[in-house]
Order: sequence, then C-alpha cells, then structure tokens
Amino acid sequence: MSGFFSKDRITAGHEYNRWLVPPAALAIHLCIGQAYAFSVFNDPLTRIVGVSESASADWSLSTVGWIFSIAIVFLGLSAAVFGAWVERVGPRMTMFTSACCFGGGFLVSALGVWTHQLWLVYLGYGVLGGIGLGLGYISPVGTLIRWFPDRRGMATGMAIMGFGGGALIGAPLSVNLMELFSTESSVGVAPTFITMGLIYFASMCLGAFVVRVPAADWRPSGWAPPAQSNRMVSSNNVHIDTALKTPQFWLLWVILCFNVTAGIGVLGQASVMIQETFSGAQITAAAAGGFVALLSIFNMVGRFFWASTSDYIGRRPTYFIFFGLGAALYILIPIVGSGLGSLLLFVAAFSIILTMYGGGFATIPAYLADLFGTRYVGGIHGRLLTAWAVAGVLGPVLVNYIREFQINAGVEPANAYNVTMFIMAGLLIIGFICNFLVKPVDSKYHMKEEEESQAAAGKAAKA
Amino acid sequence: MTAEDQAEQNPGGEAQSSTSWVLVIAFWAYVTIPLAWGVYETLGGVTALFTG
Repeated sequence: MSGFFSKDRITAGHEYNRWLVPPAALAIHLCIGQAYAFSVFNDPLTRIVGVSESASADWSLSTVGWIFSIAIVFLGLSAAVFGAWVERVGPRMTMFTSACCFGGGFLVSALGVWTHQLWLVYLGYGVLGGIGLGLGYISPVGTLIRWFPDRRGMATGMAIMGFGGGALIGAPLSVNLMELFSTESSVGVAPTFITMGLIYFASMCLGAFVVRVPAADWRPSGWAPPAQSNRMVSSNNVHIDTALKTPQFWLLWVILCFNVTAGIGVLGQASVMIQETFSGAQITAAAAGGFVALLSIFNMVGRFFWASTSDYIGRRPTYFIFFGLGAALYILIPIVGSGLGSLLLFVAAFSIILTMYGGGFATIPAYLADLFGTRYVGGIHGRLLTAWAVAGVLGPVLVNYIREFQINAGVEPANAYNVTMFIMAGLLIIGFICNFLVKPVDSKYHMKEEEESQAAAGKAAKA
Repeated sequence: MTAEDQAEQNPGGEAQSSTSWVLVIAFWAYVTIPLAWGVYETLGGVTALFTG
C-alpha cells in the first residue's frame, strides 16, 4: 500500500499533462475551504434536542463556537509540525491522509451529534478535521511550484483560490442537505455531516490519485531557468530548519500575520459593521448577508488575480500594493462610511481590501519559493502558517473589543469602528516596512551541493 | 535548439496526447462546475445588498 503512495510511484511520465495538477489541488482546497462556512451549522447545533428552538439540554452558541476555533488552531499546528513530513512523503500520501482526517472528522462529529457528546464534535471536526485542513492546505503547494516554475504565483493562486471558493460551495450545500434531512424530530445535522464527510473524502481522494510530481530534470517545454537577473528570485535552496534562522522568514511571518489580521477581523464582523455604520439607511439582515457574500467572492477572486499578477510585477511590489493601498483604504473608510454616508464607496473599499486579504495568502508560497528555493517550500510554507493562527485571534479581538470599548465610552455605533480602521492601517504600514526590509537570503544559509545530493538521496531511499 | 535537442533535454516535457487534454478538460469541469454553482448561489445573496 505504501508503494502506491510513494513518490517514485507518482513521478510523472512524459505523457502526463501538468494542467491536471491545478484541478487536483483544487479538488482538495474546494473541500477543505468548507471550514469558512462552518458557521451555518452553529444555530442548528444549538437545537439538537429542542429542534424548533434551543432547549435547556442543548449546547450553547459559545460552546459550539469552539468547534471552528479548535479546527483553525489544529490547521496551524499540523501545517507547522508536519511540514517536513509532507516534503518527505510527497503530495499523494499527504492528500490521502488529509482526506481521511477531514472526511473522518465529519463522521466522528456526526457520532457526536447523534449521541449529543460535544467533546466528540470537538475531537472530530476540531482536532481530526483541523489536521486534515492543515495537511490539505499545504499538500499541493510545493508540487504546483515545481510543475509551474514559469508561473509560480498563478499556480499556487489557483489552488489557494479554491480554499476561498470552498465556502461558497460548502454553505449552500450544508443548508440544502440540512433541509433535505430535517424532520419534526431532527434538525438533520448528523446525516448532513455523514453525507458531506463521504463527498469530501471521495473528492479529495480523486485529487490524491490524479496528482503527480515532476521528474527531477523536468522543465516546461521551451522554458529555461532565467539567468540570475532578479536578485529576489534565488536558484539556491534553503533547508526547512535553516529557514527559521533567517530574518527573511520572520519578516514574511509578520507580513502574512498583519495582512491576515487586517482582513479576517473585517470578515468576521462585516454583517454587524455595515448595519451599524449605516444605521440611518436601515440595512436589513439580508442586505448585510449580501455584503458578507460579496466579500467572500472578492476574497476568492483576489487570490487568483493577485498571485498571477505577482508573476509579472514581482512578489515584493505586490505586497507593497497590498500594504500601501490597503492602509490608504482603511484610512478612507471612516470618511466614506460614517462621514459621507456612501454605501457604494464603503462596499467598494472593503471589496478591494478583501481581494488583497486573499491575495496575501495566495502570493506567499511563491514569495517563499523565490527566497528559499523550491525544494522545501511546502514545509516552510506550513511553518509560516502559524502566522495565520495568530492573526485568527488578533484580528477579531481588535475589531470586537475596540468596538465594545468605544460603545461603552459613549461613541455612536456608526463611528465605533473608526479607531479600529486606523489601527488596521497602522498594522499595514508596519507590514509595508517589513516588506521593504526583505532582502535576498544570505548565501551562508544556502544548502551546499553535497547537502542537496544527500537530501535527494535520502528522499529517494525513503520513497 | 532543434525539437530533438529539446526533447532530449526535457524528457518529461509537454508532449501530451489528445487523450490527456480530454482528461484535463474533464477534471477541470469536475472542479469548476461545483464552484460555478457556489458562486451563483452566493451572488443570489449579493443582490439583497443593493435591493435592500
């Protein structure tokens, strides 16, 4: 069985078409992206016993909210801890393991719902599913970069766009399935979990079986590695453990963390924010939901657009745009929102910000490959994702607590977000400075020729 | 550089058959159709933002 998953077994022959790899990666990311839509289960999970309304024996919303948080924590942890393993065993084994964890997580959670044991749901979707998320997220990154050395940004942008798009599929799919399975005595969550677990497992396995790695000497037809004209694109490799000792890794860590912090807080609070900012215009709950949906679409589109753009203008200039334009837009939002009262400009500003939020996620693997080489980029990317876990806490805390503090201090709800917007702009300015400080990795960190050969031999032996 | 030289240097290059392109189109359809459905469903919600 291990032979079927080995790297040797999945090294592509000459007939293999590299354009099969992006949909294989999308098959994974479109599934695990469902995590962003998990909130559609929150309300039904608080009515498992009472069905039509929450009963005293039912779980509270705050305890149910922990399921998603645990999953995101385990996403970050597993991506960081298993990064080296992912590089060693290759994408098929990683994708299959991810499919087992993510699909299996749904099944364990269904058992938890049936037996009304919340710890089983934490263990299922939170721990198992979270590990599936982390492994699935990083599994295709290094492979895509190796297949598309001529379009690193576009290739990883396509896959990571899938993570944004997964919520757009997961939300209506969950709602439709719960409607289908609900009865007078059940909200239909458990059979929905089972169905989704099986669908996602099958789809992710398809991606795992289709994916291949290129032969060591493979390169796209008609393409030759460019002469060393761009100092920011290295042809040398840095070992996964050595990368952590470089200032470049930590500068990129801060860059990712602050870019995500600025976007994630807005995403989580968007519905309330637009209703409070335009309280005089009577924004309905449905309209606020439409705003959240619009942001999700821009988040997804930005992933492909900005990552592809970075192939032409470079990674560093792309992040200068994210931080420069992002900071300017955050400063403008209080003016166009509560100041001018322009809903259109308010929505437009946040839509652009969300493209750059998604773009930050999608462009970072190519930035890492440019600086640290392609050999360990998947594992290094996994370790960098700890910045996401930190931002996942920092962003919502900044938005929610500062709003609460402002309202308690007597500030009008329409103006309660102004200080937060300026803080977000400040974070982006720090990100801009960090991006400015990113320089090529010192040659003392590069792998020596014998280390490269040893690593290649070690991989072949283990495969 | 001749085509033969290139093929020699690049044994795993893009010399795909028409069958492989059929597979590519089929697999792309497999992932883009659900995504298009998801975008369509989501856009339905977006209209509420502008119609109230």
